[in-house]
Amino acid sequence: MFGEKAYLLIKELDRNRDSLPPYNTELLSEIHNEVKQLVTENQEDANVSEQSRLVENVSYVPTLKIRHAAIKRNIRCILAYHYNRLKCLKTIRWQFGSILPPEVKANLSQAEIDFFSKYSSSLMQYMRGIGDDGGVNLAVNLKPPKSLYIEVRCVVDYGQLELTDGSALLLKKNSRHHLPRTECEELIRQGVLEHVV
Amino acid sequence: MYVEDLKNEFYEFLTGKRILLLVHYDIDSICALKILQSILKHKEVRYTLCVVRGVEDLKRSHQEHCADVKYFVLINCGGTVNLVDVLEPADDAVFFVIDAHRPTHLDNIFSDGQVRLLWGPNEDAEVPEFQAVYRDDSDDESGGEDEDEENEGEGRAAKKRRLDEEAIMRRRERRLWEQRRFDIIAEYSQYTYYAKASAVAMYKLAWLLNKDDKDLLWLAIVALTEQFLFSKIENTQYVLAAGELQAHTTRLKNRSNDADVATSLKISFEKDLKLVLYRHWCVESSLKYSMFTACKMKLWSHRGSKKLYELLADMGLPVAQSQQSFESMDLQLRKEFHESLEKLSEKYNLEDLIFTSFVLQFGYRNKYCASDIVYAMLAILESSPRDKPEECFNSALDCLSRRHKETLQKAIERAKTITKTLFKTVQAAIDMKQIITAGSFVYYIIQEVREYEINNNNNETKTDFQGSLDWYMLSNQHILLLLAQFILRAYVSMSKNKKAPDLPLIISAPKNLELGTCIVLGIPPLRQLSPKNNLGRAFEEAAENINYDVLSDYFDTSYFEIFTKDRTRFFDALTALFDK
Repeated sequence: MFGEKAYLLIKELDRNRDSLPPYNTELLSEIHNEVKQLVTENQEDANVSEQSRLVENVSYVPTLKIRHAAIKRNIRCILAYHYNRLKCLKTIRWQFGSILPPEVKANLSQAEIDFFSKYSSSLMQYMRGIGDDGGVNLAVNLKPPKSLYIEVRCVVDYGQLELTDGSALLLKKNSRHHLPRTECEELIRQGVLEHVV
Repeated sequence: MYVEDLKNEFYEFLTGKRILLLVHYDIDSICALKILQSILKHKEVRYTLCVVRGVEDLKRSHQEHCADVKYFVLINCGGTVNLVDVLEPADDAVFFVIDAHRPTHLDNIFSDGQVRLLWGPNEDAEVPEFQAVYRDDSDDESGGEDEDEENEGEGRAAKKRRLDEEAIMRRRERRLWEQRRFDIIAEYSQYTYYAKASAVAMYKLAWLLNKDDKDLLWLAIVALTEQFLFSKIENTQYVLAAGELQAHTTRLKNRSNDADVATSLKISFEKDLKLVLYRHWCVESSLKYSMFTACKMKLWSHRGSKKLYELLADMGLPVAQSQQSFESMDLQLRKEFHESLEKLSEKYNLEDLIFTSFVLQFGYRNKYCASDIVYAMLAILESSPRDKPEECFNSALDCLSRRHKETLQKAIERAKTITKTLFKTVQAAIDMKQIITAGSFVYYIIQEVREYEINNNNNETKTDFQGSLDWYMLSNQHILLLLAQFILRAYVSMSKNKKAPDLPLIISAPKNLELGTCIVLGIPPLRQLSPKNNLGRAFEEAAENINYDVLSDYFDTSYFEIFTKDRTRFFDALTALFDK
């Protein structure tokens, strides 16, 4: 049946909504062949129809129409596949930064890797331009923070923490602190500190 | 040194600096802390919080942080101890102290800027003059040296004689001055009492900075109510302070906002009853277990319980209704509850049942009066033996924010158990005559229950497990204070001794089983209206008399800690002291 392989491609993407499966080169080449085959068959039948329209009343227009619809469907599926993968790649950039973890990189095609590096560099260029003094890393907070300082509570016994101004802070379990957001964020992500609303 | 301009010299001074907040483990300091936190949020202050239960904790926390932090803010701790001596800080460390404990240590008052007290000199009563307490020793010696140089020309013998006489005169004068100084200091520090709540002072600062709102006002109200409920301040002081807070309440009332019940926060100033948690409990239990009604009507005896039912019948409250929770009573009965009690108060000897307090209302279901919150916080802070103090501290902070309603509900349930336990302890103490008079004072000792002991101790009628929960609770400061007041009042109401209202009470409870220590608390007699407590001095003297190493760690000197094995000797020494 025409378009079945394209359907399989989309289904595979749907199964892995948040992560990128490996770039399915074989399935894509199969669909590619199918499209090529459909196009050549259409070519022949179109020529026959052209010629025979004048001599006999043989017209393959309905067949042409069906094959054309199948071709369009396949192309649409391929485009959707690539577009969704790129969207996923962009979210990965915002989440993880400009270095790709190797397991993700293994799943990408060369073109996607190129896209990623170009996207990353233009994003960096933009972020360098805004704000004074070296730019703002927008990927740190996807929503604008409400305050410069936050109150945190220490969940585990961490020990001494070195602050950016050089002084040390003793983090014991269940101690509370009020610190600038920039100092705490890394530790909040690690789970050492807990933000107190 | 006193700091009166809180705005510039404290608030603006701390902008951008790194500070350490040392907070005492009680309700007033938690409220003061919350207010301070909310106003410090606007200044870029980096702070760390440490919970302090006594002088040892204070020293330890200071030691851990003194390398990096130069500015310390002490809430409800440290005013009564000589900070510079105890902590041995660096020369550029500055201590800001806001403390409700009095009397403030003289070295803190006359400090030259290292210790800054955040109140005015008018709040410290009867501070002796600087000259009377401090003396510049170098004057004597320099006088001696000048004399030496002048007299070089004279004969040696004559010079020596004159020097000797002058030296003797100086020494005598010195001795007299020291004697006077000792007396002055003894008189100044003999009574321990409480002044204005720290949270109220912090609220005033917030008001000065125009950053006050109903939340902060409610915190100040809770702190003031705590002082009143634990009899830390006199009635008149409470009424005055409540009047001030009421002025703030009326100012902060916002008629258009308050009309929307679902989202508004309303604080109202109403008459309230001295019944514990009656809005969240059933009427009968509340009447039976509250200290005020229990002591006035002697509800631990049979006659007392019959009187209770009489009272309920007089009020027109069916027994079935009074055993249901207050919220599910009939609407009519609920509305008339206050007035009917007021009318009958004279007949049942329940005057002073009414006092003025504040009620908080938010949403459709949540109506809490200030005393409810005080009891709930007390339950969190002092009745969870398994949690560490910092965790309880965090839960208490949660309970005050209105987002954590389940914490508050659980705490109220625990507060009910605490009240019941106190009542049952008092009942047992009176039935088994365990409140012993020792001449000029009354004492009561709480034994811990050991598994194999089945002899006559106060928890005889209960199972072992429950008994151990009881004394665990009672080893904490404020619950012990409530128990002491309950016992004293109960004793006075039952005793035929005419001198009973003049006797102070000393109560002892086990504190730490492994170390074998117990905590001793003394409260002044009932007839003395002012809560000034000079038993701390008695404890110190008794301890000296038996050559005991002072273990007392508490900021409030009416509490004392001794080893259980030395307890009997200690009490003997106290008896001897009181008899003098």
